[in-house]
Amino acid sequence: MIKIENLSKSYKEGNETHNIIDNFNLFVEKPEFIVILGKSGSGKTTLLNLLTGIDKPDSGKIFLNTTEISSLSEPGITLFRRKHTGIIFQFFNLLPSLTVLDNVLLPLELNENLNKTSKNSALELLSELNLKEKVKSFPDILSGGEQQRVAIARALVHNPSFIIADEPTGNLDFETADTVFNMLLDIVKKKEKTLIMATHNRDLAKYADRVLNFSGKHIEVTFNSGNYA
Amino acid sequence: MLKILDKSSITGLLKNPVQTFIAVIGVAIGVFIALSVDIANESSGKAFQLSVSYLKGESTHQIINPAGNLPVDLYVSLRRTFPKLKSAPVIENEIKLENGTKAVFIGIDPFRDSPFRNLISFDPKNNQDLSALYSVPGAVFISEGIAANLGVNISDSISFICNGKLEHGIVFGILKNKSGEKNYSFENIIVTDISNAQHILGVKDQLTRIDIKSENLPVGFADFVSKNYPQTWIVQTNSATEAAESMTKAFKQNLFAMSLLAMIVGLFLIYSTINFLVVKRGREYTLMRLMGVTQKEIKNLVLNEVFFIAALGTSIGLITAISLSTFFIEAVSSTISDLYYSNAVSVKEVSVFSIVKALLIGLLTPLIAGLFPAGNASKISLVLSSRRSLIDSTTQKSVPVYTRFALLCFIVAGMLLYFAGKIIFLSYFAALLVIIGFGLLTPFTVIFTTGKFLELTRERSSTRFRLAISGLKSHLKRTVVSLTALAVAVAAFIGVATMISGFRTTVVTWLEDALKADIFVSAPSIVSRRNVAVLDKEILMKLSEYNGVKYADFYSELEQVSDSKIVNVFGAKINPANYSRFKFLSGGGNKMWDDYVEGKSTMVTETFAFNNNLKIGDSIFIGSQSLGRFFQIGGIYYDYSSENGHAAVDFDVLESIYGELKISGIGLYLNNPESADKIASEIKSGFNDIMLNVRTNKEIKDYSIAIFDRTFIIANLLQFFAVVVAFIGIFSSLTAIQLENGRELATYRALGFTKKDLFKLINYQNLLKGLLAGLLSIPLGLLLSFILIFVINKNSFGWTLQFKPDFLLYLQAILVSVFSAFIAGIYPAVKMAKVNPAEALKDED
Repeated sequence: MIKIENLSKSYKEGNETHNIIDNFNLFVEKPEFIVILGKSGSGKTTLLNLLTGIDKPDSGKIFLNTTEISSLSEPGITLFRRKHTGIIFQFFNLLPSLTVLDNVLLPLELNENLNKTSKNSALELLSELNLKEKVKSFPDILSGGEQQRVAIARALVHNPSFIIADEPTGNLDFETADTVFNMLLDIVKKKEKTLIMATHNRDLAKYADRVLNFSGKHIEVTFNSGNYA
Repeated sequence: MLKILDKSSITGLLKNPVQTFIAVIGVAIGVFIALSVDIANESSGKAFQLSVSYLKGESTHQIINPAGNLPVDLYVSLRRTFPKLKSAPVIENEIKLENGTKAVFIGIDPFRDSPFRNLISFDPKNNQDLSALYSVPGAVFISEGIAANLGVNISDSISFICNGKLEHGIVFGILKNKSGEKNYSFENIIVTDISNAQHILGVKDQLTRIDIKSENLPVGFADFVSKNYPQTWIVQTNSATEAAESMTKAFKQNLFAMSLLAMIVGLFLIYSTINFLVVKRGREYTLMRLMGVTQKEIKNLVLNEVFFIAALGTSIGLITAISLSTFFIEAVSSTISDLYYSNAVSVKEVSVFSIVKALLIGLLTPLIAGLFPAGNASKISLVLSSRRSLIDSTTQKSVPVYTRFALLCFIVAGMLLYFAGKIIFLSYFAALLVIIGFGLLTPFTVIFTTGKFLELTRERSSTRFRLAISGLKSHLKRTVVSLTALAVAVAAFIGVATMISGFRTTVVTWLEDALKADIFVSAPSIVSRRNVAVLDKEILMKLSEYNGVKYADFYSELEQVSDSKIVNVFGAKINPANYSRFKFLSGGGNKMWDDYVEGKSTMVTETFAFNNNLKIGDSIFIGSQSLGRFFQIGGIYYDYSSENGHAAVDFDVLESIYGELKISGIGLYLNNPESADKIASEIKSGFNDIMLNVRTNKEIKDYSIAIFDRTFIIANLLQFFAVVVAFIGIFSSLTAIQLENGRELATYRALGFTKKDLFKLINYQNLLKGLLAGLLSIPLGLLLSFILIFVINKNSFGWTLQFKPDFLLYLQAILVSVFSAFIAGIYPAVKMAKVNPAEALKDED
């Protein structure tokens, strides 16, 4: 469940204040695929930052499941993110000092859930993403598509409720982007997770259950019924 | 099994081998210096203890005569009067073997000596002809060390110099250590029976001392000794040993100050390398934080990495220090041997305390240095896009706070220096605060100077040049670390060099004033700073009447041991024409000289007054326990011959206390000073029975300066280490800056800067950093030299040293700084100039 109440966020630039998000409300009851559309600087990433607790709102509340994350302390929000959130970045952001397998196992270890069974699940997930042969490789020798698939595995491996993706295909060629997106969507649907994805690509919006369109000060919410599940 | 985050740490360190290596080496050098200095200090101390304490044996008291030997009658009458008291006669002298090695010649009574020492005993199993010791004239036993050193065996003859005379003995036994353990006292020792020792040394019916073993001296013992032999002192053995040990305290303190300075410079190296590793992995830490790793976990992760580096560096430092300590031991031993006592033995002493101390330094210093970067890593902004600008603006915003803290550091340091007195630790701490304060002041200085520089050069300089200058300001955090590291190292260089040159200038000036005689004559002494009183007055008479000699000044040097202190007393006969060679800190004047000759007053050296908290008008006791009296201090004069100092009274006055004295040194004033060389060589060859040390004025000055320079070998070495450490530090720091500026440099490339342009830009910045660090190092160096000269040295040695600004040195410091920054920056500049703009831009977020 995601509940956003009267959320506002602004930034100061010199003496000027820019309202990025103004009194925004949202309620998502069950797992959904939500796409955030908008041009650069419209506030897409700001909303994702607020949802992951990386940034704090000026006012308003954000509830993820039953936890009001906007009121959590720094360690509290980190521990919440660790357990309930998986993040996928545009530039993959794998840890270069860890192998593919260790990158994926890290969230399990952080959640103190690294055991034989969970490790096997992680291997299965990597296999599902066609990365079985790459488990011992370091990220720097993988292609962009492979790195993003590892990032997907890492975001999902600890079974979080929410997957936050910021332009996950923005740094991939068209074909690879298509493949990666389909894989991500398949797995998210299969695992019944909420996926919130910021993108410039309007074509992807047709797969979403809900689209948040950032246009200037307003966030327009549209529903595509029947896409999820 | 290793946790995944730990695996990432190890891989992270392995993926940055150069920086990891530098950090490890930084810790290793710090531990190496600290432990080496400790080992050298402890070893020399232990060697002294072994060679002195062992020979003093189990004695609780000693009866000595500061003015010379004891009559053997004293021993005989003591034995008669106190038959149950354990006592043993001893003749002990420092000697020089044929090959120049210093050794101890000791004469004992084998029948009475066993409760005191385990040198020789009548053991039928050891096949030694002990009876020869008292039946064959010249028979001696030598230690295994000497036998091996000189290649002599039983029945061979052995020659050595004692009190300037060449003596001979015949080897009748080789001393072996019965316990099987290594006993260093056996390395350089010649033992014989007391009567044989008297025969060999020509001191018939005389003893050096009488050893007593009794916790409580019998009633009436002290009275008996003072009544019958008033010149003598009864001293407790422990206090005598302590007194001798305390002589080297100041020297060791100074050594410690130098090693501390090197450690502080090392701290900057460790800080900057760890900072580099954190910067390099900054993005990874951000990602980890995004994945849910807490700030505390990131901090621990960084500190674990630091601990790994520290443990590795400490191990290397420990092993290297222990294996290479011989060099340091020899350097310290030779100085102590030169200046304080004949320390013939060489011991490697590595105490658990030193190891623990080195471990603490090696493990804790990096952890302290790593705390700040670890904190930074954990607090790194998770809003990736604005990461860098946040850090830099934070640093710039904190400048007023840093400046205020810097001023606070200076104020506290000033107060500490003012109140430190003889608590040297406080002075060290103040020096540390000055360095920290200086580091905190650097951001302000950089902003101020770069601003002024830009203002002045705006119209006339190229864009590239202005970019280089403003780059220093915009990357303030890194700039400050590298600048401070370099400036502190160069300042250490200036500080130590100024101190040494100030010291040297002072000593040279003093030598010019104090040494006026044309020729100096003394008996060869084992310890260069102390002249034993062994010359007969007959020699003085002959030399005074020598053809071409106008007149002679002379003195007798005695050692009074009391209250754990050795008090050096000079009985000096000074011609009124030479009064002017004494420069007084306070007191002095005609009245003092009149009182001096009449025996109403004494004059003491600056160091003597300092060490004993004395001032004009205070009184000191000179003489034996029963014959001495108090003398009022009429003058305190500058003297740099020893840090323990001495009190001087007129020669005749001292003789009136101790009876007839022998002479330690004679200064001859010639009718024609130009004939000094000729007369000196005539005197040398004219006295065949005693090897006189005859030196002309120039020779003795050169000799004194040579000893002075030898004293500073280790200081120079530590100074060199400080510069090496700083160089590595600046290299590491500059590499970190280039790495962090990757995106900016890539942007320049994308804008059309050629590789050459970029290389030039980076080098402009490095040269500017070098120049700024060089300029900044001068005030810090002057402050450090001020603390070293006026506080640490003054409080360690009690000397007033000249503080002489040396503009050539400052110019040299700026050049060293600019050159170091330039050389250290070449590699990172080449590396970054080669960066592919597309790659660098893509890599950054």
